[in-house]
Amino acid sequence: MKLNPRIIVFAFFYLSQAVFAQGHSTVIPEVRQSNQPVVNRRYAQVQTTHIKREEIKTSPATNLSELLSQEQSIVRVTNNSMDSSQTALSIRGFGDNAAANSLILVDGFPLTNVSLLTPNFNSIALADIERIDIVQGSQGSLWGDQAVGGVVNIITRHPEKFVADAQLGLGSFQQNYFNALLGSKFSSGFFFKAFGFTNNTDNYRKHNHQRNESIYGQSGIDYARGTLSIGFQSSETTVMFPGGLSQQQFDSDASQAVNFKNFSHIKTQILQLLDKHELNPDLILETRISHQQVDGDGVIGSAFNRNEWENSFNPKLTGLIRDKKFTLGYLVQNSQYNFINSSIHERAHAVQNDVYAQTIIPLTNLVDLTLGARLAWQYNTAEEIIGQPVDSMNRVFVTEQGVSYHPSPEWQFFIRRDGNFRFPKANEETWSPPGTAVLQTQTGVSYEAGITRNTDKQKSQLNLYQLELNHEIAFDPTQTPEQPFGQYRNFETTRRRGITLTEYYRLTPEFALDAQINYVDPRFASGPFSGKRIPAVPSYTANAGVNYDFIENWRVKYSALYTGARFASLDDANIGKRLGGYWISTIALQYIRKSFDVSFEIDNMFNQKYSTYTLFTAPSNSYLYYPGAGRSYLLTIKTSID
Amino acid sequence: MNTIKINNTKVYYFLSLALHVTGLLALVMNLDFSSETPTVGDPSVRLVNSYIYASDSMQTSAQTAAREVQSRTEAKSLPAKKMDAGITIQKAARRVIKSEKKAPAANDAVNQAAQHSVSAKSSNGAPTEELLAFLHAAIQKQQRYPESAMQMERQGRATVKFMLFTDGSINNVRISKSSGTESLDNAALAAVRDAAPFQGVDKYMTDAGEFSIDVVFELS
Repeated sequence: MKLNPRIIVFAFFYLSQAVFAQGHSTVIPEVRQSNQPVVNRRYAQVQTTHIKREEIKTSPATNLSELLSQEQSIVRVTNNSMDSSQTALSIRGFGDNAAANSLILVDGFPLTNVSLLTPNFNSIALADIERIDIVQGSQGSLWGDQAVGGVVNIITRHPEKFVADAQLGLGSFQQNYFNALLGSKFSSGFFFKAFGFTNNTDNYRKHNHQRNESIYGQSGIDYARGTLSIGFQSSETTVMFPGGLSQQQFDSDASQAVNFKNFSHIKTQILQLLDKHELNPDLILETRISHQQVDGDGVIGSAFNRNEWENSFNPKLTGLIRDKKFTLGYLVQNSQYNFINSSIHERAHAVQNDVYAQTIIPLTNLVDLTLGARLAWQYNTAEEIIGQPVDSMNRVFVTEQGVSYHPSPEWQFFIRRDGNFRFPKANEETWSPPGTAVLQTQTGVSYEAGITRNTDKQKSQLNLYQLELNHEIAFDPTQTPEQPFGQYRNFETTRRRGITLTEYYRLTPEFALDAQINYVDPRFASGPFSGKRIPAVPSYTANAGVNYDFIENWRVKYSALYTGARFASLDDANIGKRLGGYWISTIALQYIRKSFDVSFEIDNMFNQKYSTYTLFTAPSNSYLYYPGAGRSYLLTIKTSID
Repeated sequence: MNTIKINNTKVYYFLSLALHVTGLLALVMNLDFSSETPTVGDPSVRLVNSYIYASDSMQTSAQTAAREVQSRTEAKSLPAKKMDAGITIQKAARRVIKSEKKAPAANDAVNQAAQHSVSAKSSNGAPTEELLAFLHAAIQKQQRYPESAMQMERQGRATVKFMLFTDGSINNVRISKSSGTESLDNAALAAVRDAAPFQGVDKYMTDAGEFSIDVVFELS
C-alpha cells in the first residue's frame, strides 16, 4: 500500500500536537501589582517631590547640584566657597548654615561629614541615580540630626541586567567632563556596578580652576531573601579660591580674582557594607556599616592639613505588623577630626547614638496616623587645641505626629508636627566664641499642612509651614587671629513661616509646563535682633520650566530660576542694603534617542550678573561678593545601554 | 540502561514548537503556498502583525486577534480551511519567536492567544475565554505586594501552575518559574491559593485542567 505523503505529514503534525499538549497548561492572562498605591499612601504623610530616572537621564546637567537648580526651587542650591564640591542644599529658608540643616541620604542612609565640610553629593554620578526624593519639612524623629528643613534622598541604581552609560561634556571655561558607568547582574544573583568621572574646569572666575575625580565600585549578590553588597568610593577635589570682591571690583569685572594662593585639596573615601535581609514577608532588617575618611590640605591664609574619619553602624528593622507600618532603628557614629595649620592644632572626637521608631497606623481606609520618636545623645571631646577645651554631653528627645487623608488616588491631605534637632559637631564646638563654654544643641518644632493633587496630566502641591528653632547654630565667617576660619554661635529663637506651591502640567504629549513658588518669612523671634530677618535667605524663590518636543526626538527645554531679595550674610541687624533678586535662565536643545542623546545648553543665557554669596561687614558697612557664573555653553553627548 | 527523564515543560514546549514548525513547513510545501503567505489587505494578517508589534493593549489585541482568526476560520466551511486557525496561530507564534528580541511582551501575548485559542476550541470558544477572564480577575483581586519586597526594591515575575477542578478547588499549586525573590514567589502562590475555591467554574469547564499564570510585581 502506498501512503500519501500528505497523510503522513498531517498524521505527524497532529500526533505531535496530541503528545505535547500534555506538557502545556492553559495560560491565564498575567496579573500585575504595582507598589504605587502603597508608595503614594506612604508619601502622603509628608510633602515629597520626585525627580525620576527619565528626567535625570534626559537632563543636560552634569552634576546633581546643576540638576536640582534646573528642575526645582524647593531646594535652593547655595555655595559660599566657589567650590562646587561644597555646594549646600537649603530647604525651608536657611542661609549660611543650610548645609547642616538639610539632610542628604544615599539609599536611605545619611551622607554627612564629621566636620564643617559639606558632604560632596556631587561625587555621585547622575548616571548612577535612579530617583531623587525631596522631602520638605522636618523629619527629625525618622532621620535625626540635620533633618531640619528637609531631606533629599538619592536612590542609586541597582543593576537588574547589563547597563552601560557614558557621558562626555565640553563647555565654556575650558570645561571637560567625562563619566562612565558599567553594571550587570547575572542569573546567579551576583551583580556589580562601577563608575568613574572626571571634571575639569577653569570656572567663570580667574584662579578658580577645579578638578574633580571620583571612582566607585560596588558588588554584591541578590539572594532569595535579601541583598548583600560592598561598595567603595574615592573622590578627590582640588579647587583654587579667587577670593571675595569689593563692590567696585564686582562692578568692574566680576570674573577677576583677588587672591592667587588659596586652594584646597580634599580626598574622600567611603567603604560600606550593606545588607538587606528578609526575616519574613513583612519584615526586613537592613544594616549598613560604613567607614569614611576625609584627608585634605591646602592654603587658606596659611597652609593647613586636615583629616577626619567616621565609622557608623546603622541597623534598621522595617515592616508591617497588623497593617501598621513601622520602622525601628539604631545608629551609632564614632568620629574623629584633626586640623593643623601654623597657629592651630585641633583634635576632636565625638560619639553619637540614636534610637528611633516610627509607625504609620491606618485608622480607616482613607486616614493614616503617623507617630514617631527619637532619642539621641552625643558625647564630644576636644583636646590638644589652642583655644578652649571641650567636653560636653548633649541629649535630645523628639517626637512626631501626623494625620494624612487620601480620599482618592488623586487627592491627598496631611497635617503634621515634627520635632527636630541638630547637634553641634565636635569641631564646631572648638570654633565657638571666646567665653562660650559649649554650643547648645539646636532643637525645634515644625508644623505643616499640605494638599497634593495628582492626575495623569497635572500635579499640584500646596504646603504651609512654620518652623521654630531654639539655639539655631549659625556660622559667623568673621575671621580673627584666634578663629581664622570664622566661628559658630547659637541664635536665640528663630521662626520661619512659609508657603510652597508646585505645579506641573502636561498640556499635550509634547508640551509640558512646570512652576514652583516658595515664600518664606524667616525672622529672629527673640534676642537682640528679634523681629529682624535672618540674613542670606531670600523671601521668594521660584522657578518655571517648559519642555517641548517640537519634532520627533528633538526637545527644547527652558528653565528659569528666581532668587529673591535678601540681606547679606552676617547682617543680622538688617542695617545693610537688601540685595536685589535675579533670574537665571537656562535653555537646552536636545536630540534624544533611546540609546544616546546630544544636548547643547546655554546657562545664564541673558548673562545676568549676580552674587551667589555676599558677606556684610558691619563696622565698615562694606560687602564682599562671590559672583555667580556668567553666560556659559555646554555640549554633552550621552550614550546608554539599559 | 540509562533513562533520561524530561520533566521540564520548556523542553516539551520547544519540542512541540519545533514539530509544529516542521509540520507547518511540510504543510506549506504541500499546499498552495500563496494562500498562506501574509498579504497586505488580509485582515487576519493585519491583526496578527498588530499584536506582534503593538506594545500597548497587547494582550487584548492578541485575544481579539485569536477570536478574529477563529471566527474567520469557522465562517469558512471548506474542510481544507478548517485548520486555518491553528495554522495561523502557529505562524503567529513562529513569527513572534523570530521577533522575540524586539517584543518579548508580544511573545507572551501571542503565546497566550495561541494557548487560549487551543483551549477555546476545546470548549467551543466563549466559555474558555470567560473562564480565563474569571480566573484572572479572581487572582488579581488577591494579589498583594509583600512589604519586604517593596522595602528591598525587588520586582519580578513568578509563574504559578495549578490544577483546577470543576468544583473550583485547586491542587498542585507550584512555582514553575521563580521571580528570584522568595517573598514574591510566596506572594504569587498566595494570590492563587487565596483566590480558590473558584466558585462557579463548572459553568465554563467540564474537565479538570492545568492552568498557568504569570504574577508580576513591578516597582514604579
